[in-house]
Amino acid sequence: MDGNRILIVDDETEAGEILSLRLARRGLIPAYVPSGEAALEYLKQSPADVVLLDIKMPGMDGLETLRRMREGYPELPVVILSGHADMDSAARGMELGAFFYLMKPVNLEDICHKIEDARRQTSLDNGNGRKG
Amino acid sequence: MASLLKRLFGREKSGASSAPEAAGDDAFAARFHRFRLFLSAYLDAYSEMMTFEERLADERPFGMPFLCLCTTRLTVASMQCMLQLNTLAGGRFTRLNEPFSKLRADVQSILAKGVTPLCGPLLLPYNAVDDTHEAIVSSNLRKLKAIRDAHPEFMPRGFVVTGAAWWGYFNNPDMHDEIDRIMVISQDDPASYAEAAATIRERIAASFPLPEELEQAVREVLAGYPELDMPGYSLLLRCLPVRTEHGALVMPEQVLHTPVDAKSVLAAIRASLAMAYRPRAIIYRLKRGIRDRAMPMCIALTLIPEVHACGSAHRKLETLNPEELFLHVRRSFATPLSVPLQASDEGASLPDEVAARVEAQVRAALACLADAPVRGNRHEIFWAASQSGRLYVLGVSALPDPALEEPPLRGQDSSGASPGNGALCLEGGLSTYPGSVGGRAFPVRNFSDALSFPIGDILVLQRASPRWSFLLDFAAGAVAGDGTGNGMFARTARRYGRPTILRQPEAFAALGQGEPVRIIASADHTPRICPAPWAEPAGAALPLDGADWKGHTAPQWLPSGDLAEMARELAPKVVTLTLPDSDDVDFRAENCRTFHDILSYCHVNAVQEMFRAGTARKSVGAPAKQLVCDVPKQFWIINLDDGFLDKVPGPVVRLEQITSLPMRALWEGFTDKPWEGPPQLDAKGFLSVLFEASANPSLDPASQSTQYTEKNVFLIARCFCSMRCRFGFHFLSMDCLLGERERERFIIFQFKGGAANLARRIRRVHFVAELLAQFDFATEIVGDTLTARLEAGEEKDFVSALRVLGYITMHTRQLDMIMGDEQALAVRRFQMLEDMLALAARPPLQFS
Repeated sequence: MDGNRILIVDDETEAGEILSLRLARRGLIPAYVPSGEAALEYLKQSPADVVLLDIKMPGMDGLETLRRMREGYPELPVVILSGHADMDSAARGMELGAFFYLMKPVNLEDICHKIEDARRQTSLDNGNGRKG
Repeated sequence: MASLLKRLFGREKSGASSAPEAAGDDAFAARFHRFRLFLSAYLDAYSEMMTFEERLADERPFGMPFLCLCTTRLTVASMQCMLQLNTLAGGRFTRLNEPFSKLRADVQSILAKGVTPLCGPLLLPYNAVDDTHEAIVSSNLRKLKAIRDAHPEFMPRGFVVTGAAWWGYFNNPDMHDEIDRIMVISQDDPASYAEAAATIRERIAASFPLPEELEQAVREVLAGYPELDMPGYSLLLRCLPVRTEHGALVMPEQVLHTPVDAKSVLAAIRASLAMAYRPRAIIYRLKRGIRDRAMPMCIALTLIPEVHACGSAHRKLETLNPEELFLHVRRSFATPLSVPLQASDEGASLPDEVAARVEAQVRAALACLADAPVRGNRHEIFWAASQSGRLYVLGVSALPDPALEEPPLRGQDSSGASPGNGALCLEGGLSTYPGSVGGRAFPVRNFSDALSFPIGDILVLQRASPRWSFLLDFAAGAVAGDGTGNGMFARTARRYGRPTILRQPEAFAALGQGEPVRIIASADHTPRICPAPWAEPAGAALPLDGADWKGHTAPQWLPSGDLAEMARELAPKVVTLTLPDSDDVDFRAENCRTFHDILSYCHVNAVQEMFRAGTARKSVGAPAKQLVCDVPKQFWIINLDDGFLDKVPGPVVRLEQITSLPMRALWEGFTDKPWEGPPQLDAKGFLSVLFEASANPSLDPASQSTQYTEKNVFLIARCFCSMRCRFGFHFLSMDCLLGERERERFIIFQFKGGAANLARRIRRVHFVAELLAQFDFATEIVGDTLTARLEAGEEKDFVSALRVLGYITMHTRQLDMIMGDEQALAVRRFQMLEDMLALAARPPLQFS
């Protein structure tokens, strides 16, 4: 899992930066942006292997950001990290193609597992065998 | 299925090139990874269903965050299962979408229950409040009308921010989201409530101003109060539950001293509204099992000049003499005292001449309420008095009549109250509501204790603080080391008719949790707390819809609450399995009605898809290889990913070439002891087999339509094994994943069928379930089908469990035939258990 580039999208700067630090300690390469718009802008410039996306954000919300990411980067796995236990938004997220919808509070281990799963599945689907 | 089997066990094709082989291997690895993702989601969903079921059977309260979290996680895990199944099956299971959408809609409609919007004026002047405002104004304020009509001079000026305003304020989707988010993070953990409550109040203060309409209305009303600009007045803000049944919840009062501007009043109103998220309010709602928005509050703003003292008053509870009055006095909540109050053990008292004036006015006020001597119509009034003794009535509450509730205590001496034999009683203290009640003592020190306070126990406190008043809604009686008869706690005890003794300093140290005690509270006799030889179910005295607590652990919340009801309504959508067995013609997507159905349907089909995939795998010759083994039975192995040590050419595979840990562990159990052969049949057993074999077409080997004719197949990877086997006349299946992550370890074992009649087959699955329960399997029996599960644990424990399952698989053959012979069964049970324990205790498997 080391070396995977993780884009964190969360309007709560403190939460995003803390998660960023913790993922970096696990050998991942995180980048943090505070909004959906900034995330789409970031992806134009830099690639990411997995996106961790918050749902409730001012401006472009997580679901709209996800929809646009799926349009522009269909193979990019997106894991939703939400503090809202809402069946509808979870179902909409999954229907839009989120790799998974995790609900806060979530421990770092679970986030890392989902990143690993997403990364491995993408790699296998792309025919990169068991290297992923 | 027949074509699948043909493909599966057909001859291998030769001449496959290495490049397509590698591509095929990768595609298969990708497929197996999807299958693992499926299993992971399936386990998440199962774990969520179990959590839900456990909480439903539990005595502990839960809030909406629990129900929302649970249903959302189940939705996500189910969708993940459906997604992976459809990917594995090339989209052949999209017909699941329709029943799943209906299920989601059903669940959403259940979750939306229990909230009724409140309508009406946002503000009401005191003189406009009456019983037509029952839905939006507290009964404490509504009952003032009777006094207001007869004695308008007793009424202070003021107005009410109604429940409709409260509703409008909290009916803000952004605020909902923020509060729900914070509460979800607290995860129903009482230790987190104080922090969550503080965070919510902070967010409310920082981010959610009053709605413009409400703010404007308050400003307009305040403009009519010129006293606010003058010194010498106090503006008292009280946050009161609108509904009478929530009256035990007492919130702190706020006092603003004049001169005060509108901005400060508006801020104080917001602070009062935010009191809905004090820890005591959160815990109270949890214990009553109601949603946040099902407990509306209103705010009473009262302008009082030169307040000198305040208190409450009611007629003496143990007598019908209307002349006997209790006048409770406490120091003013407002301006400093200019006339010294006489100290008394009641807390405080007024100078005689002031007291006489107050008393006369109180009697006049009580008379308006058609008070005693009419039984069952007693009231307590809350008052404030000026220095000269002018009375202002702030609120009224109805009191129960002890004469109607309990047998009279008069004449009930120390021998009449069932104290323990010669056991020491604690004597003395202040009785605030008379009565004798028994129950288990439950000391409360903090909010965690409060949350776990069992319904109907005796509340034991160090101090009778208003903070704990809400627990009187759930207690049979109360004891406290300190407190006054005039305090909010005592008033609530009177209002709820709970026998209560205050100022009993030894009680808190002397009464341990669960200790049976009896409280004997009386104003005419020395109050006593005695050890009781037994604790009667005190909950019977509570309004609990006739629930019978005898012989049960007392619940920690009202089982009749909205949320418990909601969970009971959700259960058939979540945990119930309505789908028939996978052999049944009705095992169809359109018949999935519950989350459990959806998951079972997905699981059966996902495993079948993996079997199907095995047939398509051409890279290493025949997809299914026969296992070379000593067991006189044919077993076929399909390698899903990394289940073989290396490439295995040819149609057979040896055990030592297999790297699948779960299969090897299971095999160890298979082969540990040779099967002794069929047990000796008694005559009845023989006839049962004969009859069943002729009557049950499933037992006809010529039939091609049932699982009984399938071959014995293992689907394997290094960490995975799925087995489908027929042994004799019974069918077994086992799925096991031993992932590196603890949460990705599970075994599901199923055992069904047999040659004997149904009664004997059922007895056999009970016999097997009993054996498996010894090894921590959770078992479930439906008809003659046993399902045993083991989830989350250390790898070595799973290896032991798999050995046990292997042994069971081999040694339960034809046992149904001796199910009528208790003696033979007992011998077999003992022997099997001994073998299984020895197997389970073996050191870990060692193989490369």
